[in-house]
Amino acid sequence: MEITVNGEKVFCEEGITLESLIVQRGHDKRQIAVEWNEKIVPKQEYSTSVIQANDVIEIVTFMGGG
Amino acid sequence: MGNKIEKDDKLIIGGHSFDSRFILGSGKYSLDLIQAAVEHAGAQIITLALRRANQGGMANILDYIPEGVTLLPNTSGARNAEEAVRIARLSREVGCGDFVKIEIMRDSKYLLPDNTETVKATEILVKEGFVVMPYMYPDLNAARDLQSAGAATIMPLAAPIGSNKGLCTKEFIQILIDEIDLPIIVDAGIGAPSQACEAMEMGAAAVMANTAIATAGDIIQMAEAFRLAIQAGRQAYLSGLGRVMEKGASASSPLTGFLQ
Repeated sequence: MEITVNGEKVFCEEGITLESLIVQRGHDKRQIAVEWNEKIVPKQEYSTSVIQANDVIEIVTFMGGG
Repeated sequence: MGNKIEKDDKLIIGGHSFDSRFILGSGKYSLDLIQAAVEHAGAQIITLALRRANQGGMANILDYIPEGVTLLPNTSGARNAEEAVRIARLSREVGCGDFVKIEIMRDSKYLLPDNTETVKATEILVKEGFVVMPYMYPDLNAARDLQSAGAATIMPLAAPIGSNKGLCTKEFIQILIDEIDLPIIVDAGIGAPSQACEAMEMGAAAVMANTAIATAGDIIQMAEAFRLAIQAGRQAYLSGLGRVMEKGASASSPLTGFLQ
């Protein structure tokens, strides 16, 4: 199924959780925050959040800035 | 004596106490220089930006910031209050505390902050329990509104971001220092330790710098130079600067007992 992650269309398997998506993309969940269809997801809910087709996900982290 | 002054002289922001009055920006450095820059700056607060995470487990800036340093995420990229609130909430969700530096810009040439939207974002985020540190154009009315909204500090700009031009808004920052009962932290445009020192002599509670250090010939040495300048300026402020004469001169040496 197709979803949008950080503005890009990507394909992922049906039934995937946010937790798995985060691991697949190589993120450390202590260093990110996630917005799922415009709602912030608490970290403890990643493993129970099942992604659906056409969902829009933003994964953000800190970078250098002033 | 000097040590005694420093020991008792704390910077309080939102109920948190800091010994250092130097807030360091983390932009434009290579990651491996950040730790040394923080240490030589003696900084206890460091700013960060929130952005989309790159895929593939790349090195993260959080791995390079020494433990115990307070993280101050900014809302750069926000063009209005709503976007700033969204960035602030996401930043808090990363899990590094409640501090946020509100930064809202509609203008992309001079990167000047939008004070009206900044007040709106401050009102919302204070109610949500954030320690709000708004970056603003030094305007007394806006600063009063930010104070009423519950801001923890006021962060007026000295000059456009990244310009290294120094205290272009000096007179207006002085008004904020004199009239607003919150820590005034001079942010943006400070390009040299002498300018940071001057801001502290004026009574600023702290100075924030990034580009001045990141674009210096030797980042580590410049971080230390800023630390010393900010300490010197603070100590001078606490000491009370000597008076300035309008006209004439006043001999420092005795005017009697000259050789004939």
